[in-house]
Amino acid sequence: MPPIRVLVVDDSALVRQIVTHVLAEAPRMEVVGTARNGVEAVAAVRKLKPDVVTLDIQMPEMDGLEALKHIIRDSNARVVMLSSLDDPETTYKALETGAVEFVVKPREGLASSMERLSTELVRAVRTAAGIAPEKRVAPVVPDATVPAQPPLERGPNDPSQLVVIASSTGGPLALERVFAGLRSEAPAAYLVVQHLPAGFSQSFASRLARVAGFSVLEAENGMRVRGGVGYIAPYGTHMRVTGAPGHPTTIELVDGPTLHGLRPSADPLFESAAEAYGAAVTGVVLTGMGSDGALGMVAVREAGGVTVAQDEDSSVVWGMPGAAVRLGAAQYVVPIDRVAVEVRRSLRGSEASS
Amino acid sequence: MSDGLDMAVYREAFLSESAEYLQGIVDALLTLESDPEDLEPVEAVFRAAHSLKGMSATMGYERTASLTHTMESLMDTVRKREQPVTGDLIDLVLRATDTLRELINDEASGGCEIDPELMVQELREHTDIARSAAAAAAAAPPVEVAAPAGGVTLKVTIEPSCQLASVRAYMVLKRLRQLGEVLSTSPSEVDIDEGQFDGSFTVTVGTDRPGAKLVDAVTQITDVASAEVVGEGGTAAAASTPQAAAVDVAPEPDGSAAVDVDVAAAPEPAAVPASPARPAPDRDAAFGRAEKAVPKLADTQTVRIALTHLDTMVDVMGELVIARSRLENIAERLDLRDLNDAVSEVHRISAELQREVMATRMVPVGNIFNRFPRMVRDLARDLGKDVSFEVDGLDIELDRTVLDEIVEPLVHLLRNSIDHGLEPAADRVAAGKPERGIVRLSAARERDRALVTVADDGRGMDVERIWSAACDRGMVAASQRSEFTDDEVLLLTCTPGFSTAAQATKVSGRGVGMDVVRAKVEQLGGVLTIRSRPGSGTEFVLALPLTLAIIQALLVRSSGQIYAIPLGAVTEVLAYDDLPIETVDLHPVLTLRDGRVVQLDTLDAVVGVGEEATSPLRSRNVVLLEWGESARAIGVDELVGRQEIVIKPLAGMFAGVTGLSGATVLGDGSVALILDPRALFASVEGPR
Repeated sequence: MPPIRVLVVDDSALVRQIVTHVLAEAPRMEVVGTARNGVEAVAAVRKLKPDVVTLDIQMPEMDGLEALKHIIRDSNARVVMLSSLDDPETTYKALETGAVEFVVKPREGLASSMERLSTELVRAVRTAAGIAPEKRVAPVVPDATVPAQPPLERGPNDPSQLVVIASSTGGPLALERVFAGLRSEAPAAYLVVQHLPAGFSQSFASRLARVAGFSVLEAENGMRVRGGVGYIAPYGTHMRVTGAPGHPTTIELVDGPTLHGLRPSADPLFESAAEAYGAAVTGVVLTGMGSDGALGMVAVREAGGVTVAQDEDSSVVWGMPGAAVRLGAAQYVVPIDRVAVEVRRSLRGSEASS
Repeated sequence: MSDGLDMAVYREAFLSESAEYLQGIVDALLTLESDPEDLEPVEAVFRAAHSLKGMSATMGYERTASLTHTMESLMDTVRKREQPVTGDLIDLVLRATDTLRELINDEASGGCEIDPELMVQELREHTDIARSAAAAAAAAPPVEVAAPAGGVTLKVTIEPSCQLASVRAYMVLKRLRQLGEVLSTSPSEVDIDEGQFDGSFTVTVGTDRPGAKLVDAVTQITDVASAEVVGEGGTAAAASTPQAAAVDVAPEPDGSAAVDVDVAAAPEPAAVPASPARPAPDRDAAFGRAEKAVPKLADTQTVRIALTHLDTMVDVMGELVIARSRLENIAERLDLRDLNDAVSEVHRISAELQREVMATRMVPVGNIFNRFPRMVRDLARDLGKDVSFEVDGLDIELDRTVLDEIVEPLVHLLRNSIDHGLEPAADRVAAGKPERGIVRLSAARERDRALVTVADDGRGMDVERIWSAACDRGMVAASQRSEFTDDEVLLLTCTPGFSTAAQATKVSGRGVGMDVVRAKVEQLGGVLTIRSRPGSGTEFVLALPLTLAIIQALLVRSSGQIYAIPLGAVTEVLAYDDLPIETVDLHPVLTLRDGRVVQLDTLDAVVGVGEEATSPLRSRNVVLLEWGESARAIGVDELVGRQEIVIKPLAGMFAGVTGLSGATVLGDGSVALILDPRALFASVEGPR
């Protein structure tokens, strides 16, 4: 198999050096060039035709977002953004423009974060290389967004159902489209494991809250789960739930070994939800590399819950949904724009039958 | 993989890159100060602060990250025009940059001496004031918004061969946004962005800038074939935009400035499409020009190498030269043909290697010259002088050690020029000179020397006044005047204790004096000359060797000890027996062929060993030395030969020893002391 050819774009020589070093040490990867700004990047992409571009945002001459547009238009290169934490909005904009993955630049000193950077970067570049070029930009959909609803003030409100969602590569945009179609009136809580770089879950929760029109929070250990609210697992711990339908239900954030090389992994969430809520669980697996969530879907299915997987055409990477399908754990396999519909139907259905 | 070695490598990379960013910030601030309306440099400062923030966070330097973060925020308000560019603002950011420099060194070396908190607070306050003012302005009805005086419409054409037409077009629009407001484009901006245009497009900019300035700015962008003004004065194009309302509310009185420049300039760009070099009026002579002349490192293929490696290479090279000499000694003794061939091959190769090694140490003078615009600015501000600082010859290369050593002398000379050289503005006007004084720092290559010149167009030096001051101080006798040329009289100012400044000011009253400048130049094997014309200015020329680590020397023996005399100072070697030696005042003197009479001493006496014991009469050879205008004869026992010797960078190790500048190891392992010609002449300074 030929190596993955990578172009490294950053205005800092230090960062170029670090990124190049990290990628050069990874097997089957080759840094074919570096560029110091957007203009050089656009020219280098044309000339070198890299498989993957790692792209900085703030750069002289032409910034990363602008260069991204040109790169997507001119080439098949898959783009991994090198983001900084203080500007998450730009990162989401980059994902909308066609970047497929993003990694946060190290920020608490290389000595402590070199290994994390190295793991995440190599993983992101490999994932990106596996994505078909035509899947880089989500197809434009008619704006079916439900008008935003004001977040509801509500008292203690133990959910009667749980919706657990797993997603990874391509997930941020997919989740936005799912959340735009969800309702808060349903007495369900939405628990999400989206593989995000450290520090992004808070801003991602806010973003989802805006499109959903109901509260979406970054999960904390011991947090009481309420109906009509979404919870995003933070980086670095697995998320589990304990409790029972209509009874106090609590989030537990637990350390413990990575699963599939991931933490959070969706499987512990799905399995704990199935254990606590039995049939009152809807499991959803969206686009993503790997197979996280597939075993969780099996657990949900075995406990009598409903399972929904995103279909191959609308997935950026059909790894996780595909794995669930292959295990026979996906009851419904639907395009992204049907996922919210299926979830709502599932909630109504079990509401009617309970 | 993140072992200590990697971290050290990254720290090096961090330090050298942050030095570049710091310099970039200072350059940009000075450029900005010279033209506060053009916000291009603001972008540069903003981005540099942003990059430094990211880099220092990467390295775990939290204090640096915090300071650069607040600098970035402050520049963001400037970039968004939430506050104007003022001298105070520039001062603040310059001071912040100073703090930042210290902080980076502190943090990178693992220290915790520098606390940036006060500076962070100050920057934050400035940012908050601007932010709240901007918020208030946004809340108020936008009547007060200054309307652009008029629209200038440009037709811009991208080179047809350019592969990245839409990228270049984007850069054109971005640049124009720094100079005003892009009101409309044809085709539309979306089409341009997607490359849907045939290589040229028109753009209307709301600005009170002359069209020529816009043309200049745009034609500096790569692949822009031409830009011409096709319309001006805020006509139809502007009327269709929201700004038109503001124009009606607050019509600007001054469309005229744009008009009269345009009348002259408009036909020109069409005739000479791609000539960005046309000098723009006034400001361009000032600060910031220097920046554009600095050769970008990235233009050539380069790698970063830690200085310690370069120093080690020279040391090792030196050892190789020594080992080679030893090999040559052995070969000479054995006199085997094959050995001789091999040795001469080694000689040739190592000579080539040596040239290459020395070349790696060559650094463009721009590396140190670029720190001076900032210093000159601060100084001129302090002294209330209006100075135009010109820098030239930035790509001339010098050995890094030489370069490092001349920083301090140059600082002193520049201070001198600004403080003493340049007259107050009123005096200048009275003398019929422009109000703004010129100080010029330049470098040029002349054979195997580099000439570094500090010149001003100030009042010049008064030779006779200097002469009489020197007489007053007993340095010379009034009767000797005819023996001195004017240039030599000027050099008397470089004698310790000499000063003609009426009062010592804050500026030139501190730091090194002229005597130290001269001593430093000569210690480096250079020569200082001063030229001055009363009323029209003064010029200090430092003629410096390009390299200094390895020199050609004459080896001589005296009382059993071998000495190395730098060949540059040796004019002639004579056999003692043939010489017309006389005794004057009990001291032997030698009459040269040209009639000059020079003092003759033994080398032992000169370096202060066995004074009485040796008389020149015992010497078998005489070495004639010249230094500047002086000459001196030294008697030695034996001439050993001519050889390349290695001297380590002069770090003041031998500063206390007169007559000697160091030592070197010879091929046979013995040690030779290196004579310092400058010191030899210090005692007989003056008359010939």
